[in-house]
Amino acid sequence: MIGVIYTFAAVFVLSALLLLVFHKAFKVTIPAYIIAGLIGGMFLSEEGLLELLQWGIAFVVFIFGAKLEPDKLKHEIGGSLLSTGVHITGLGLGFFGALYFAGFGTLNSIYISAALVFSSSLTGTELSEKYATIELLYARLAEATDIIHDILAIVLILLLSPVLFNVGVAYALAVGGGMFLFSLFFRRFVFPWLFEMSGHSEELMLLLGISILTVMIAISQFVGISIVVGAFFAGLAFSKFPYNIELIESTESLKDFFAAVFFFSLGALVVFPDSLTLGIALLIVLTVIFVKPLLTALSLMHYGYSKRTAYRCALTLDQISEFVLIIAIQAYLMSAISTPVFQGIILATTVTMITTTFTDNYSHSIQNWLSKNLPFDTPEGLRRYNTQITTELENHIILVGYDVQGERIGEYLKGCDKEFVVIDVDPAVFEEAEDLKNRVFGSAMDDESWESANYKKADIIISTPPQRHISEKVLSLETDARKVVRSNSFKAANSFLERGADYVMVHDLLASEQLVDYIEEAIHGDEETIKRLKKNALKELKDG
Amino acid sequence: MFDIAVTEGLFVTWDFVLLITVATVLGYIAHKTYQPNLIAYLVTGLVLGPVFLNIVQETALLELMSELGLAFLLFLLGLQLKFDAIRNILKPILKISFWQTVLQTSLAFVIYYFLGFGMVEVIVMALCTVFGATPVIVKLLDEKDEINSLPGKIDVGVLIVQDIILVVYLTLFSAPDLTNPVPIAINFFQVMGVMVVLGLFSYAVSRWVVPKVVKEVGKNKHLLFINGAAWAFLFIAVSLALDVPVEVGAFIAGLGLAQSPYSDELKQQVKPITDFFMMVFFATIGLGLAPEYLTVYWKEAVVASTLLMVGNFLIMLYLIDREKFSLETSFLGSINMVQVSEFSLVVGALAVSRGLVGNEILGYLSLMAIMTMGLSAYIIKYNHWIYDHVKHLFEFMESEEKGDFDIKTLNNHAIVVGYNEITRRLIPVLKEKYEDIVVIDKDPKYVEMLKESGAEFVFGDLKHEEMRRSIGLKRADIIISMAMDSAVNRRILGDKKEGAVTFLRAKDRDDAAGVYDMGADFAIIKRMLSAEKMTEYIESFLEDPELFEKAVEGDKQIIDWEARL
Repeated sequence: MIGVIYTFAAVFVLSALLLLVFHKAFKVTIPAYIIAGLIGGMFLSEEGLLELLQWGIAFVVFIFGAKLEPDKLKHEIGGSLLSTGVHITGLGLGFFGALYFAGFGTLNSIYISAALVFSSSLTGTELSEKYATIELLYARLAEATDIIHDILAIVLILLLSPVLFNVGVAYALAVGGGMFLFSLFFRRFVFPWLFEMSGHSEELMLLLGISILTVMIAISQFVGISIVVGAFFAGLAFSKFPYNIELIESTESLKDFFAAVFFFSLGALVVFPDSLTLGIALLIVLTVIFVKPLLTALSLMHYGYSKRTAYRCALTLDQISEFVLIIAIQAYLMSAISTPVFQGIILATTVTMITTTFTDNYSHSIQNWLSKNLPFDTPEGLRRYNTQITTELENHIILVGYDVQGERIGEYLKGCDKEFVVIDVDPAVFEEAEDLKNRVFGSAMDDESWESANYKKADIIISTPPQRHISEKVLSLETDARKVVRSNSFKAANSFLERGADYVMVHDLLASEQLVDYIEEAIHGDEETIKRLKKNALKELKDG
Repeated sequence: MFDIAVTEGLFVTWDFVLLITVATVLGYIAHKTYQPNLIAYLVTGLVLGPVFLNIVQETALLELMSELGLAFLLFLLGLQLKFDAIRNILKPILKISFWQTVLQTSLAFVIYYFLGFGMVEVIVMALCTVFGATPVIVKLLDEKDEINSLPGKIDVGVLIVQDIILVVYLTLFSAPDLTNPVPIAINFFQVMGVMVVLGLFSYAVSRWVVPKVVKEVGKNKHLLFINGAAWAFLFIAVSLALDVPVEVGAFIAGLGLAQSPYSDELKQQVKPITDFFMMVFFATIGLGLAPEYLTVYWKEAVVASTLLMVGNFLIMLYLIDREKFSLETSFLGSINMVQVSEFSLVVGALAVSRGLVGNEILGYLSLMAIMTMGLSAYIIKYNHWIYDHVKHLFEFMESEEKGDFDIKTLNNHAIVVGYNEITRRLIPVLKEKYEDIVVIDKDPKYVEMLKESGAEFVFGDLKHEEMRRSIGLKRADIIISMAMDSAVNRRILGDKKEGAVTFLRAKDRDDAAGVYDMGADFAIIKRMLSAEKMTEYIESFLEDPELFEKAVEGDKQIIDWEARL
């Protein structure tokens, strides 16, 4: 046991150091572990460590299952399914065919193709702010696509079971189906009851979670399918919100612990790459960061999304899923894929997880560049939303952006009979606000949008998006209209004021002023005051 | 390259499945009968091991997990020892702990001697059974919200000192030759030397390096945990290399970190993994006991448990009372501490492995632990009831000069969850009405910033039950939460007292509807609030553009001022 303790010390100390570095530089974790493993592998024996690797797989997949919210698939399912379909047929099948005929063999070709298809919603992206702006259309699309990818990865593992574990396809599917039904039953009827019985105890939730996890894994091992399937369905059995909070809270540190061991060991398995490994890695990386986003964007444009949304969404899907790492190591352990293929996949995953942080940070500029320089656009007939002007626009108000703030202002303007026009690039907002008389569907960055809104004759322009370039665009417009723009920082706000803005909305300032008003009222008032506040707020919510 | 065979034994086996499933079922039963979980774990081992069914064997995985469990337990123990928490009652605590150790060890010594045990066994057993069970006491008092009461603080203080003494014991038992006092002494001083060096290193790092690392890591829980684990393993590995018990290294690693204001969140992260490994540890003890080990001394265990529970209670009562605390404080403080600690099993297992005592002594200690912990769980649960019914027997101890320290507890206070631009502006407003304001945030960077504002800052996540208790959520008058996490909102609404005013953040309208459904008084949607204010401004613009100019003038000044900061 002593050896294992030293190994743990090396794993965690090395990982912690690299995590700090990688967190500062890229805000990603998995590449940090893999590179820590790569360094550690030079002087550590893998023995002892690799024995615990499967626990890492089990917990990572389990937590993924427990966090799964199928509700997120409600939005934008069509576009996500279409782009996934294109990924599978265009990238998956296309490359599978090419690789197969190039002599890679069936399994090697399947695994490389899987790496090309599946992008990630697991651990790596928890850290990046991938879904921080979830109210935006492109982010909802990307999230739905990721979930579909992850579920398909599970299905692929199930389908590969016959090859890897020597069981019949029907048998594997029957067992998988049985587990699925069990997890649905447990999730619906048993879990809430057990949760209440436990008095919401984190410790009991932890034990319960690990019990179901180990039972499902043991069954998977017993019948001869991958443990990933068991772990996933075990997680799914607990995915009922809000009951899953305590479970996730308590099992997460176990996941963190074993996931560190898992990703570190992966890195430790990579030796200095030969030319074949490098070639495979390069092929995967180039395809994932260039070809795949392009295919995604084109398919989304042909579904009717604007090119802006299509590019932004495509740019969030330009990495390889850690599920691919999990299925690859399993195949490698069973000698189903060759060493260069396995190592190529690990290298490529690490690289794309780092490159994706760059595209994430600069997605706006990249999207702008792509929109300008590539000859693709949403086909005219397929466009889901168009500009519509029904009244004469003069001495009117231009409202840029129609999310919560814009909508609240719009509702007020509707009530007081003042003509106004809305400029927004997100089709979803127009879908929800069909009663808008005047709307310009387009980017505030395009002059065309401003011409349509007749900006020269406007009284006031109120721009609600926080992006700096939009505020700057508004300030650069030559018009007598007063200009109200928005900023998230006081420094930028001040510079906008100096550059001629009549007012700059800083959410934090406006919101805090309003909240202070309410709270002052609440703490100095009585019960009735609070009831009144609540009533008014509810009314506001309903009207909105 | 490695092959699949290597993974055998360390991954899921049916033995392991059985162990964890039975532990879960027994855990539920323990919960329903108000028993500490660790009794459930010990019994799991007894049921599945040779004592009863004999269907589960110890495996390499169980061995590794229980090793890790012990190390993590000590790390967690260290993490919990905040000297600041007991600073104002440090003097009486040191006195109580010293005499408690001396008197209880002597009492145990006499009892075991008269029960007819051999001298080495008497010494080992007396050393083992002197401690109170920290997890049992802390957890039960915490659940009753009594951990910050004066008796609670005294108990925790005494337990802290006991834990340090325990580490010394572990050191003693690690000596290479236990029959000769000279090597024991040499080893003792060697280990103490290493401990002091490691302790100083740990303290220095937590003072100067940890704040920088925490700042870097920020809100990222994953990084915080991995860094914490790295820190613990570093000390464990160094201890191993220097031949110091690994538990001691882990303890010192935790102790250093505990003194920094960032330790609470890490503690919450380390706790679940420790709980899990400890389950394996206690179950393994049960697995390792043969039926005959349990039966050899069962009568002695019953007699000694009874005598020690009564004796320890009286000793503690006398010692606390001597420090001139009120009768109620002395009574509650001592009746909470009557059980034998889980560490009796840790030290006992070590003594068995060193060949000092036989397995039947470990069986005896297990019986004692189960009996005293089981009973004391009810005693702690009903401590006030017991006091009310027997206090007339102790009236002779009361006198004018005795009284309690005033310890500050949070009551009718304001809680602000999440510190940001918005809540920063709220603090002065809240200050007008509330004496205490607690601000809790997952990002540690506000520790320094808030020192000046008159609000108390806590670094942590309200999703953890202990955190909610420590900031007195149940007693707050108003709770304003900026947490986007509906899980946090749910917990706040579940725990708050009736009539407490809640302003809770919602992501969007759907979320807000949910927040109101759950019973919040007001859902904060930042963009809505901001929009409301902006609409007011537009209203003034439509009336007269000059009115608008006036309305926004104040804001423009604030923007100008903030931009200069």
